[in-house]
Amino acid sequence: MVNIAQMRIARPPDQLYALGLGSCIGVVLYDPQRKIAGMLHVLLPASEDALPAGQEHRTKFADPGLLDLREAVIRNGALPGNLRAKMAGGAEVLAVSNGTEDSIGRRNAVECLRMLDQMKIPIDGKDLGGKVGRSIRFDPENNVLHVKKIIGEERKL
Amino acid sequence: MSKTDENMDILKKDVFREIANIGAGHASNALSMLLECPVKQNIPEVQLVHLEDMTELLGGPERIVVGVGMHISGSIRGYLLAILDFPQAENIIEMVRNQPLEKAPEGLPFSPIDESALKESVNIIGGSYLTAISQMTGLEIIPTTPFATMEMLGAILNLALVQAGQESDTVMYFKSGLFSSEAGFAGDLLLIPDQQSYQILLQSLGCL
Repeated sequence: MVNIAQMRIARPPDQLYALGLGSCIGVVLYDPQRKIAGMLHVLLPASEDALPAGQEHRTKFADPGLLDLREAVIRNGALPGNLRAKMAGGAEVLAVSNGTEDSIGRRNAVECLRMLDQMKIPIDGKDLGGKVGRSIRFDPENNVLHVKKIIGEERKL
Repeated sequence: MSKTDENMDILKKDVFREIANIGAGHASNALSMLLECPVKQNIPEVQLVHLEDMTELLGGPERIVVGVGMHISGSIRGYLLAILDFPQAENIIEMVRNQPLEKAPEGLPFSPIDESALKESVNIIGGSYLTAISQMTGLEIIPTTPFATMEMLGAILNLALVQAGQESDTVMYFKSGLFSSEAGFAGDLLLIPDQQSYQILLQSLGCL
């Protein structure tokens, strides 16, 4: 289970879960050959200057959280050149009529995509945006990302 | 109990609990008038918790609920959210409209008129809650018109966690349970101020 602002690593038969994602995004980095995967539950796009001296909560942000996730899967045995990514989330569940700014879900998605591009990690599957929340499960055995919403069929990426 | 909870001293916690108490007292009166039956409130809960723990404390990220809420601006900022199980929301709508629920369009929990009855109810209840706090503190509190959705709790609380997460690794919430055995109703009312706002609330009452 990967709660908000957390990061976890798993090997088969363990699986990675992130439940009730709204504007949050679950990003999985995995090495299909070595069967090791890590998931980050992104809350916010970028730390900008807000990151305090304590490094404890880098994993709240797409940037720098994804850098840490990459480092963590590599430290646990993944090869940098093997890394692939899958991701889901970034919905706009409640259109709150106070803001002029872009929805946080979309900004999270843009930032995650930018970070993956910067790290040169190919994206094998993504399910982003929309207005409905998601629960996701990643199985490092077959590298399938299961995406479930409160209505409709489960999707496999 | 969360670790950060110890950091909030007893006095502050009592002040916050009193704020929630007075707010929810007015809210339950308003709901009582709306439903035309007695509505009670339990002792409010005030919690300061880590971001990642909040959803679990309120029933788990996959709990499917009807969330009706409003964003607050003015002297304080944050969210006021009513969290109801579907049958509870259904009850409110039926009692307010005095007729059974209409058939909802495909993919939506409620018909437009039922949804607007629910939003209006929460508008009245939430408005009473906020007006009470405003009168007590002298602070200006401006709610938006309410939004409503049926979703996983995690997806609904995401909104409040985004707000909290921008400034801090913790989030504070005031939870009041409202219930009426006559109406077969129970639901939670959450006030989630942002970090600056809870300092402002304390200052306004001379507690800082």
